[in-house]
Amino acid sequence: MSISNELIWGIVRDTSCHVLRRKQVGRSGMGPRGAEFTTEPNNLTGLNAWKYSGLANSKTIDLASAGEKGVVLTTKSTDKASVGKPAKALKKVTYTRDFRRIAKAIKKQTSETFYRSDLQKAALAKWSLIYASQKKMKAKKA
Amino acid sequence: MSLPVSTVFAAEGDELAASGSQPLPAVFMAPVRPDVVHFVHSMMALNKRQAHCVSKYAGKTPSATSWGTGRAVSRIPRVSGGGTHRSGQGAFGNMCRGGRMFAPTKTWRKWHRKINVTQKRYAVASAVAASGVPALVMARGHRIDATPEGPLVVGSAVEQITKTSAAVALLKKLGAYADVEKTLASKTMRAGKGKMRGRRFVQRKGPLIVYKTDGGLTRAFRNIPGVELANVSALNLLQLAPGGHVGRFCIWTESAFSSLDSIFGTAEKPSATKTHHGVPYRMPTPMLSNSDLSRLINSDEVQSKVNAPKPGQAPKVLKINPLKNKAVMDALDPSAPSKRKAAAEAQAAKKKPKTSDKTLGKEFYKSMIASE
Repeated sequence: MSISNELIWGIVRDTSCHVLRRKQVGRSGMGPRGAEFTTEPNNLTGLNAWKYSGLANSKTIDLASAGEKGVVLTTKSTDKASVGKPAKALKKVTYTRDFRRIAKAIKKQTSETFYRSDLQKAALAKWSLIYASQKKMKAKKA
Repeated sequence: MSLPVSTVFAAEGDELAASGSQPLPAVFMAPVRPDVVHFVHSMMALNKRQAHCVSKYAGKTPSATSWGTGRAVSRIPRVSGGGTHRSGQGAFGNMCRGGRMFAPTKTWRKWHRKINVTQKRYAVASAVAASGVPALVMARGHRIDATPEGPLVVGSAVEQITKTSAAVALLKKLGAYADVEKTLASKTMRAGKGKMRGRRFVQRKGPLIVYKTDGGLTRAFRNIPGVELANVSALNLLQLAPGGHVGRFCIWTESAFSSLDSIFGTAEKPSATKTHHGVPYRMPTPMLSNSDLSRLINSDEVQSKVNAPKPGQAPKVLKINPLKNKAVMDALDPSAPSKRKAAAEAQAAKKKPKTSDKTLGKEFYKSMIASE
């Protein structure tokens, strides 16, 4: 396709069906905007921003809980055989080791492989959140 | 650079398998212009309207005349006669009860819009190009995660399908059935008065199947919720970009796909079917052959021309209030931490409750009792 990621972002940022816009509480429609989120897949933070966009970026990182323990790390494949092929686009890896080792693996997948070092901090933050929720789930069960 | 090709997936068989390939039609390289698509779509959407207006007699039936000045009432026309409460009441005016509306609507309103034919074709080409970009199709809300490729091309045998069950099986095989399920799940009651005007339910759009010759597939597919069909020689923007948003999920039959080059033309060759005042139509070509801005900016050609940063310019820093931010305050005043500590200690000392010394009182009491 002749269409670039920048162009996709320009189209998607306003018209994506995943965008959630909310009014600023206690204000009229005028003035500052409220928070703007997105429910699109592969968006690490849920913010509707170029950096985190799961649709417009050709390299993305996403984390999801793998049940009671561990995390599923989703990355977008960049090899030519899978670009433009939705069924092959995502690579999923499940990590089920302890907190520290998974954090290390996330660091490796984001920065050390020169994939998306700018997303490392957000990815680690999300892993912490997922881990905390899993601990809570465990405590509830026990 | 090798020419881009699209895989053609076999219509027959239970397993998804490629049956060949087709060169990508040039129309998929057309510029994606959401602004043009939106404009043409909003104009086209007006063209389906039917004329309507209020009755020209509404609010104009009473015989009423103004009482003129001098009666200490407003000069609005008033219903004449007597014997009923209506007589003497204001009439005709839009501010009157039972009066006509302001500027009563007329059937001769401008309902339809002319659209420049080249602009229309530009929009269609643009929407077709966008339908081949999976990210844009996903942004429209289509569920295409399981589809093998975008644009999705199926062998021409699909045009001979006559049974809906076979059509559903094909969609499942292509990974496109998730989009139909989304449509099924989305069916809800329409908001507003359309409910009582034959438009009771609303649902999302599913895949658009583009064919060349109908060998029965239109009847096979038409009862699957959300699925629409279009002939490649009569592509409609309202179907390719519903709501004015580009990126409809399209499934092309091989013959439809391969005829796109003759319909829209290529960069070198004009269209074989479309003309404008007798001149063969030419497809729009992108202004920028490479729209990857970050790559352009970071290219050697641009970077070698960019001026180096001018010396003597301090980088701009965000001003932070030292009275509110401890770290900034500490940088300004190295003694700030010790001052802060001392202040905190002083406050703590102030707060500390006084240990009451009761020994003096007790002794006094004892001596008092002893003296009695």
